[in-house]
Amino acid sequence: MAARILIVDDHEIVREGIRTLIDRSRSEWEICGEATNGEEAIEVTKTLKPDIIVLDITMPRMSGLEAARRIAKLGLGCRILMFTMHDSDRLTIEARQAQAQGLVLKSQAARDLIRAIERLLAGGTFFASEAAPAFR
Amino acid sequence: MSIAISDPYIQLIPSLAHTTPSHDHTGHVVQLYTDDGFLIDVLSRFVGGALAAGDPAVVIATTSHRTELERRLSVHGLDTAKAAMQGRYVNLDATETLPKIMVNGLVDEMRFNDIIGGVLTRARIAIGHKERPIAVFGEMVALLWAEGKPLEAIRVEQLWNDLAKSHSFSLLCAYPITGFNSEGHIEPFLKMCDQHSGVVPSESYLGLGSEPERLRSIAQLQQRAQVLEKRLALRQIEERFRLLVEAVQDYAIFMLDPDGRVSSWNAGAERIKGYKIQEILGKHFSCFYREEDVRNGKPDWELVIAAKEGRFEDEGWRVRKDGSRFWANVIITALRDEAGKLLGFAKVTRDFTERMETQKALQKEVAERRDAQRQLHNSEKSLRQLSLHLLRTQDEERRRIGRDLHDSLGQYLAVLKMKLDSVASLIGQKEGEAAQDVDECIRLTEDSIKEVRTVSYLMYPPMLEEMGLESAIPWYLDGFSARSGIKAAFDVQTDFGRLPRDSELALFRVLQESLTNVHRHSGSQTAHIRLSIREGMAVLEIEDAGKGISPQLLEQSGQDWTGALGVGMRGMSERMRQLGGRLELISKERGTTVCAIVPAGGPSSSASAQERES
Repeated sequence: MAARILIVDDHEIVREGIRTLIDRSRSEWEICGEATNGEEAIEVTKTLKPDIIVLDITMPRMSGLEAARRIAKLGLGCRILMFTMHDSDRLTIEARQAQAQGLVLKSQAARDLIRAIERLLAGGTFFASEAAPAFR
Repeated sequence: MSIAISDPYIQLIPSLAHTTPSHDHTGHVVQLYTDDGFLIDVLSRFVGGALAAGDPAVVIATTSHRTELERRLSVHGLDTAKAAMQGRYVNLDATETLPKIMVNGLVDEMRFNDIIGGVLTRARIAIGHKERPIAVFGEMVALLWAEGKPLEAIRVEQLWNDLAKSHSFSLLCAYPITGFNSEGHIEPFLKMCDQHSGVVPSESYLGLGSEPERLRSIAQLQQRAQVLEKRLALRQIEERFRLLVEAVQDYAIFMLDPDGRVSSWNAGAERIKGYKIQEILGKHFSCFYREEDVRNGKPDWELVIAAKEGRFEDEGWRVRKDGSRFWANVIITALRDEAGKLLGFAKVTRDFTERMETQKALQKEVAERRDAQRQLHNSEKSLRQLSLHLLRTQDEERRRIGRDLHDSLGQYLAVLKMKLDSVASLIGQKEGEAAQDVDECIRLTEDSIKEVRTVSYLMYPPMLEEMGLESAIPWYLDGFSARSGIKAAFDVQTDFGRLPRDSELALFRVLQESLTNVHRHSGSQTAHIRLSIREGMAVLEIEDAGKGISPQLLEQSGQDWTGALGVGMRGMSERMRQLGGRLELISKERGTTVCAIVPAGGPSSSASAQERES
């Protein structure tokens, strides 16, 4: 199943990591673009209209949560997967409120990212940390 | 002493009002008179009565009274010459006799006894020592009184009384009432009356015919007596006052004549200024002033003002007799008679040197203390600014380190793990040892991620910036509860919203500090956190159910109660103040509540805004 994916993270190394992971796992998926902050993400989304947006939360200029909220308002049908370092139930609630369909911890990327994207492409949601313990 | 007629020693004898004093009973009566003719009437009856009865009589009178008496007695058919021949009648000239009993202007007891006693003895011999009283009339006292020697007159009266102890006689004295015309006579008059067993009022009283007239006269006498008594009392007060003034040691009280010459001097003046009364009386008071003051005409000028204004007060240096200076408080009061004529000045001087020096020292001390206070205030202020600066720097630094850890190291570790996971899946289960090593690397990476996250979150919670207190607090509480085992409940007012970044961070720090205290000191198993907006202020409350802060500790901390909660809270209190808010502490027997309050819209003053931006 083909998919166009936008990667949003302010760290090049993270974007590169995601790219590698996706390329190796699902070569049919296309990384259609990248952005380094929330504002940029909105602009690129408007142009590229990706199927999936892998969205970091903590970024300069505009956070991922705010960007998710705004992108959802665009009504482009993009599925949003929050991709974060923060491990917290609270964040899951925040992500849901921001109209994201999923949340994957960066530390669990290898395990969860591909599964989550697939779940979202299938019209479902993926909130991995719902079962994960709170930050210690 | 009283001259009221009820005085038992001075009987105003009513029975004598219409009669002449009799020589029949011994005694010492004084006859007051206005008119000589009246006195001669009384005297001729007194002496005549005695001579007619064959008793002796001694008259010591003025020449005119003697002549008139002789004439009157002879008119009544009494042969005074014969009686004199018999030695029964002795008629002496008072003017001539008086000098004989005086020595150096004073009455001499021995001479009096010799001369007068001799006369009495001879008279008694003349009647063959019969136990008959001798009628004696004496007027030397009146002469002495007239000469202005009331004390000597009284002395003579006393000597007569002494003589009465060895001689039996009835003595009649006489004073013209006009002799008691001045106030100075009041006291001697009363003393004189004291020497007599009876006082016979003058004929103006005796001449009063009717009872009402006499009563009126007595009433008038009483009135006059009262007036005299009052004046006497006043004089005694004045005298006592004079003695008081003279005795005062702490004040120099003295008088100046209108020209400024010293006319009275008291003990205080001598003590303060060093002059004895005899060396200062008559001297001009400018000698109390410093040379330059005298050159500038200060003393005279002070008198001019005192004369004009009625009073002059000054404080300044004055000079003692020995030339030493003292700091004086001086009050000069002009003294005027009833007509307003300047009589002189009263001057009261006090030595204020010690007081002045004390005051100077005190002022110096106050100034020094004020300086020290200012310095303290300044250093406190700069210390406060420094601590605020430190706090801000610390916040910034923590935030930077926290973000750096999270943003760079954290990301690297996350990607590292991502890669290791890939490696692990590539290797699969084939390479036993290599797979084990990779698994170990993955675990180590996970631990590192956790560690970095913990450190960075404690440094600065990224969630705070992303989602505000409403989200960051429960997120932090989750971790806190997990670490401490303390159950933390959180209530937040719906639509609490966001606060300025500084306020959110400051409140978050208060939460961190407070929970650290709850964990370390309170012994509480629960904590309740509330976040709300009240009247435009964001209020964060952290309440525990622990043992509370002891009142002693709170008291010791005084106004700066945050001291009771340690340095961290004191810093937070400063931070709240800087943001236009405050930190409150309520500690009960069971539990402590820390309450942090900041304006929901951020600090309003531009100064605070500037500070926030810097």
